[in-house]
Amino acid sequence: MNNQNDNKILSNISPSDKSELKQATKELYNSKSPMSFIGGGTKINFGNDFTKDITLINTSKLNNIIDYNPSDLVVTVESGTQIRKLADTLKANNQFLGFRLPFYDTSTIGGSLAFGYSGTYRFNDIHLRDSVIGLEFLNHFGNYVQSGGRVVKNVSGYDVHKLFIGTYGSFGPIYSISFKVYPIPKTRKKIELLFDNMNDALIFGKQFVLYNWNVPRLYVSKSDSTSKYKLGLDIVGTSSVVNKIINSINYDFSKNILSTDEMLSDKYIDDFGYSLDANEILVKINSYKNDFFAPIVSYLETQKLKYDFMINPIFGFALLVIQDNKDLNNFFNNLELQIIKNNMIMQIEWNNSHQHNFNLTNDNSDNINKILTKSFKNTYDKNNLFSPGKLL
Amino acid sequence: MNINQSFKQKLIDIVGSDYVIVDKQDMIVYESDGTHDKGMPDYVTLPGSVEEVSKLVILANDYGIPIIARGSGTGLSGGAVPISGGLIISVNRMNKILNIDPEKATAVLEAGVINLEISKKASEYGLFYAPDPSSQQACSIGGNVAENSGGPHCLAYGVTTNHILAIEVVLPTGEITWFGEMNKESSGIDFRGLFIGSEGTFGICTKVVVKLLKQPEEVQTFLIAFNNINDAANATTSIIGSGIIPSAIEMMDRTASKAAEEGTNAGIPENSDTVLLIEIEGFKEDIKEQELLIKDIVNEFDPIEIKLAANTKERDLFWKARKGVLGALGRIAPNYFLVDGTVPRTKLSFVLSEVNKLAKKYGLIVANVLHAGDGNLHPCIIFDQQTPGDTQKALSLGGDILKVCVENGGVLSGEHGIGYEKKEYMPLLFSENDINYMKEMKNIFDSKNNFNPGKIFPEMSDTIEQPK
Repeated sequence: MNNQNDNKILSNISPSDKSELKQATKELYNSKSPMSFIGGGTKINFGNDFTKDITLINTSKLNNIIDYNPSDLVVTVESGTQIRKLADTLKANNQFLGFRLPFYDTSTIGGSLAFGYSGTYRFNDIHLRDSVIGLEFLNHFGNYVQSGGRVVKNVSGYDVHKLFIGTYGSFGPIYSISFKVYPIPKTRKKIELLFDNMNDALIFGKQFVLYNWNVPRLYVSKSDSTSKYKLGLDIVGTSSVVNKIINSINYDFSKNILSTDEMLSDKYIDDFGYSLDANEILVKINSYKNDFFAPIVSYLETQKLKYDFMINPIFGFALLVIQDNKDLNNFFNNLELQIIKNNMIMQIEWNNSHQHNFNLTNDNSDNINKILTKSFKNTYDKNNLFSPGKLL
Repeated sequence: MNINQSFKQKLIDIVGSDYVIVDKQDMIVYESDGTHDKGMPDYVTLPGSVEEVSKLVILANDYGIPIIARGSGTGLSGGAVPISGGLIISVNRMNKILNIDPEKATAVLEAGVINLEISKKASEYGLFYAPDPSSQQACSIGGNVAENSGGPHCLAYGVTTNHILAIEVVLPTGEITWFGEMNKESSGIDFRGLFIGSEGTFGICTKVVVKLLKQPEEVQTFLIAFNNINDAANATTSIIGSGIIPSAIEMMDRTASKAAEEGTNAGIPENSDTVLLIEIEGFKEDIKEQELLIKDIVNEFDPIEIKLAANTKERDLFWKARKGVLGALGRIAPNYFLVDGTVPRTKLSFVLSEVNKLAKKYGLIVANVLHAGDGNLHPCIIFDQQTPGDTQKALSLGGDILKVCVENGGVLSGEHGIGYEKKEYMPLLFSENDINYMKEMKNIFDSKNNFNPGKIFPEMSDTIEQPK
C-alpha cells in the first residue's frame, strides 16, 4: 500500500479560451514543467499519486457548447463544460448523454472522459467510451491535434481519441469533445425488490436483464431497514412498455417488491443516489465473476465500520462507501488481502476528506500491455510532463 | 535452396503444405478485395491456430517480408490488397464459434467466423449480434474488427467497436496478447478500442469476444416512396429529431431504386423518385406507438406510398431490394465505384444535390444508396472501364464527392475504411499534425512498418518534429 507522497501543486492556471490553453501548455512543456489538468476537481485523487510537483491547468473557463444540432444527435463542447450545463442544454431538446454522471454540479465532461467514468446509470449499457466520436487535444509540442469528427459513423484513420479515455490526462490536455447523444426515454420508473440473500438478488438481476434491455441501471445493495438484500432496477421506455415490464415483475415477485417510484426526469443521481459526505470514501472493485463479491461483502459485514455497498450484477463491479475513521488502515490492509486472493482490481474512486490516498490496485494486466503503455507514454509525452505518475 | 524456397519450406513447416499457396493462378483470388485495386501476393498461408499465426509473423519478420492479414476479402477500400506483394495470412480456417454464454450475452469467436453465423448460432438463445455489414453472409468477424464495420442496423445499435469486449491479437513482434476485458469501466489505455478499425496495420486479430443483444419481440419494416430526394432526406431528419431511433433508415434514389425493383419486384412504385426503408424493433407496444408516429411524420412530406411489410416474407423482399442494389446496378453498366462518406444528417439533402451536380459535370451516372439515418452516403458511380478515360473520371468524381462531404462537416469514410483507395484524401480531413500523431501510433505497434504497409497514410513527408 502506498501512502500519499509529498508532491505539491505549484500553481493553478485557468486559460479562458483555446489559444490560452495552447500557450499555457506549450510554455510549461518547453520549460519542462510537469502539469496536470483539472475540471471540477472531483476526481483529483483518482489513480496513482503524481510523482512530481505539478502545475494544474484548470479547464473550468473552457465551458462553451461549441456545436449542437439536436437532429444530428451530436454535441461538441469544450472540455471544461460542467455536466449540469451540458445536461440542461440537451434536456431542453429532450436528449441526454445516454449515461449519467455523478456530482453533476461540479464535475466536467472533460474530467469524466479523462477518468473514463460513466457511472452505473447507463441507458442500455451506453458507456462514455462508446459515445465519444471526436476529440481535439494538445500534443507535447503544444499543437492542436484532431481525432474523429462530428458525425456518428466514421472510420477515417485511427481512433486516436480512445487514447484519452480513462488515462488521467497522461497524453495532454483535451480542448473539445464530440459526443453522440440520445433521446430521453419517455417514461422511467424505479423498482426495488427484497431478497433474503445476495446471491438470489444477483441471479434474478442477471436473468431479468437478459430478457429486458430497457434497464439502464441495476444494483444489489444492503437494505437500510432489514437484514435483507435489495435489488434495484430502473426501467425506461414508452409508458406501455415500462408498465408491461413492471406488471410482469408484479406477477412473479409481488411479495418481494419494496417500492415502485416514478423517476424525476431531471434528477441526476450518482451511483448511490447521494453525494458523499466529507468523511466517506468510495472504492470500486472490478471482477469478471460476481461470485467473488460474496467474500468481500461477508468481510464487510464483520467490520465495525459503517459501510454501504452496491454490486452491478452485469458489468462485474462493486462500489463500497466506507466511513473514514482511525481503523481505516487496518480495514484496507485486510480488504487488500481479499482483493488479491480473488484476483480483483480495486481503486479508490472518491475521497473527499483527502486524508487517505491509498493505492490498492492489484494490477494484473499482462506485461505486453505494460510495455505498450510505456511506449505510448514515451512517444506522446517524451519528457513525462503530462500527469506524471498517474498512469504508470 | 534460394531464399524463396527456404521461406516457402518454413511456411510449410508451420502450417502444413495444404495451407501454403504460392502458385500465381491459385493466388489470383487473393490479389484483390471488393474494390478495383490489385496486387499479387508472394505467398498465401491459412493458419489454423493463433500459435501458427504467431510463428508466421516471426518468420516473416526474420525475412523482412510484409504481412497482410485477410479475412474473407470483402473489404471496400483495398485494405487487404497486397499492393507490394508479401505474405497474406488468411484467418479463414480459424472459423469456430468457441463459446456462447447466454447468461452474460457474450460469444467467443475465432477471427474467421462469418458475421451472419454469429447471429444464427446466437438465435438458439434468443440473442443476436448487431453489426450487420451488407456483406454479412461472407465477411469475417476478424475483418469487421480490422475495419470497424458498420451496416444498416448500426443506426440504433452502433458499429463494431461498440459490440466488442475483448480481442486476442498477434502483434507485429509475434507476441500474442489480449486487449480489453469484460468490464468497460477499467482504467488505462483502451488498446482494444485503438486496435479496432486500425485496418490490419497494428497486427492480426485472432479471437474476438462480442456482446450479444436480445432479439426484439417484434420488427416492423416500412417501404416509403417519395417524389424527390429532399423530402426523403428531410423526413429522415424529422424522424430522428422526434426522438425515434429506428434500427435502420436506408435510402435509395431513383436510379438505385429502379435497378433494385427490376431485380427483385419488391413493389417500389414506378413513379417513385426516392425510397426509404425504415425498420423499427422492440416490444410490441413500442412498435405500435412508433409506427403511428412515423406515419404522421412521413405524411408531412407528401409520400407517394407508405407500405408496411405484411409478413416476414415481404420484409425479406424489401431488404433483398436494398441489399442487392449494387449487383442490380450491373444492368446499367458493367462497373461501379462505390464511394463511402458520412455527413451530419442535417446536411444530407444539400450534399446529395451537390453529388448530383458533380455527376452531371463528369457526365457519369451516380446511383445514391445511403444509410440515411447515420448520414452515411454510398454514391455509386456507374461506368464502363472499356470506355477510354471513364475509369479515371469515375475515380476523380469519387474524390470530388469526398471533398464535398468534408467541406460539409463530414468525413472520408463511414464504414469501409481508408485502406489503399482513399489514403491520398487523408489531408482533406486531417492536418499534418493529426496524421503524424497517427503515424507515431503505427510506429509504436509496428516499428518496421511490416504490417499492411502502404495503407491509410498518404505519401507525404515523414518528418516528425521532436519536443524540446
